[in-house]
Amino acid sequence: MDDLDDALGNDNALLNWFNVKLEAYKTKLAQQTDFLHQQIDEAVSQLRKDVLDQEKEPLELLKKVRDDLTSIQQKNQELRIAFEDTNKIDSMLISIETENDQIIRNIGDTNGFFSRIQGKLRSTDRRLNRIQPKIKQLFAILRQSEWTANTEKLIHFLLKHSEVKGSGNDKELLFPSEIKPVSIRGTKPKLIVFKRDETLFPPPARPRKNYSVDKTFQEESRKQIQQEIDNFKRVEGWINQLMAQLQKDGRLDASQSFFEVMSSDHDFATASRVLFGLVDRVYHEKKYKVDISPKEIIHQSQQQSALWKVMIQKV
Amino acid sequence: MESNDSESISYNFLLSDYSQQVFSKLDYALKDGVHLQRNGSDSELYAYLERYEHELKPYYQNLFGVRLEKKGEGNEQYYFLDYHSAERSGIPDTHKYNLKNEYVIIGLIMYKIIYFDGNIELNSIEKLKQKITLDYEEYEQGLVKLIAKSNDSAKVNEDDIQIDKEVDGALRQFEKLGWLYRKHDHFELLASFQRLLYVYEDVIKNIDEIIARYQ
Repeated sequence: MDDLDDALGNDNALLNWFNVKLEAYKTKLAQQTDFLHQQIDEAVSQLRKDVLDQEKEPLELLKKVRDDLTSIQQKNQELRIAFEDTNKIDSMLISIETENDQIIRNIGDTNGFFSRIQGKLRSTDRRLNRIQPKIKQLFAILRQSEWTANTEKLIHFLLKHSEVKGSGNDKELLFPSEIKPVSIRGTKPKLIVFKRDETLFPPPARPRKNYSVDKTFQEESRKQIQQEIDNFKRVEGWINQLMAQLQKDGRLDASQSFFEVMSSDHDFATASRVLFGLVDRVYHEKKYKVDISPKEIIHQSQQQSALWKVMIQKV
Repeated sequence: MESNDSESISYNFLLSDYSQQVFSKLDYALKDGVHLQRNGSDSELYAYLERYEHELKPYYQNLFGVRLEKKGEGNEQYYFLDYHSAERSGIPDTHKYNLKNEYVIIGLIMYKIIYFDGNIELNSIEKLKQKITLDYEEYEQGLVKLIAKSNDSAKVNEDDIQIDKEVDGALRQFEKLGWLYRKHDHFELLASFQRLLYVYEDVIKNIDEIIARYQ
């Protein structure tokens, strides 16, 4: 860390520190954390072998467990020191202000590496924290080999002499009479709750809201609808009249009819609807032929509109 | 403090603000059979118990006839209401709720696997189930008969499924009792798991005599 302190402020020295000093430190740190994990693995596996080894004396066994425990605690301490160093380097690197891309990349890489290593250290720490209380309990158990043997006898006794009574879903496991079941709590008091039946006492009906009629709005709507009906009737009237004319004459110049409607009603919408309605009525009928000539433009001097000539003929 | 020494018994702790915040929660938990310890799920209740232990003990003994017990050492201490010791609690058997006997057997086997056989890093529920159903041939016949409740002598796949279900049920029950912590496939035994063996302390000490009577 002193080296890093010296290199601060000088980009070349910093790059040199990243490439030479830090690389070596990173390799060492990674090796150490891997090694510690491995040592704990070995200690735990040794513990398991010792516990299962019937030939070892309880005292010898106890001493081995105690040594393992001490060694694990020391390893824990080493982990914490390693932790502190990476934190210090991390905070020194964060405070570096530089525009050198290579240094910025190196800082990012180092942060990532430290955070991975710290994650590994934390997981090892948690692992040790979980193991230690169990090792303590193991101490207590191993002091009493008779207790261990007797407990195993109890398990065998229960498995051999317990019985299943009843049938189907009502099967019950009963221990031998000398072994009481484990009582864990008292029966819970039965709490009687009075619940009001909502259907017996329905809430009073809420007053109905009256909406007053807006006469003006109503009259306007009525007029609009009436206007629409009148328009529809007017268009139908025109079409019927023109169809009668077509029946009588055998042919009808629909474009002329358009201008007739225009000069009579002065309404482009009505005239258009009459023309389209008329064509629509005869177009699919076999007894009529509709002839539209795009080259002949019909218009009247007093009207602004112009349209192709549309002739309807009875076949 | 003797229970008949009424002058020296005080329940003043019930009047404190601390009790107003914590007592009902603690009371429900203890009467539900929950074991409370420092590293358990509710450290607030444990802190309250440590503070008022000397007043809470006579409170439960005198007013409910049940002993508030403290077991374990150092960081491994835990509290619980002892509904098990009938001669000491004064509660009739008909008013007691028992742990399923299947769960007692599973708990004892778990204890053996983890402590006696040194599997101190066994934290996976699936691996625990595998160990129980596959690795301990000496228990197989008993487990098939009592836990899977099968009449057949040979173990079939259905028996393993049934045993696994009972192991799940046992773990859920132990979690409710505060004996272990459980999340997804991970479980962690807590200090109060030792209670299972303390319950049978007298039986374990005299097991040879008991077995002799069944020969």
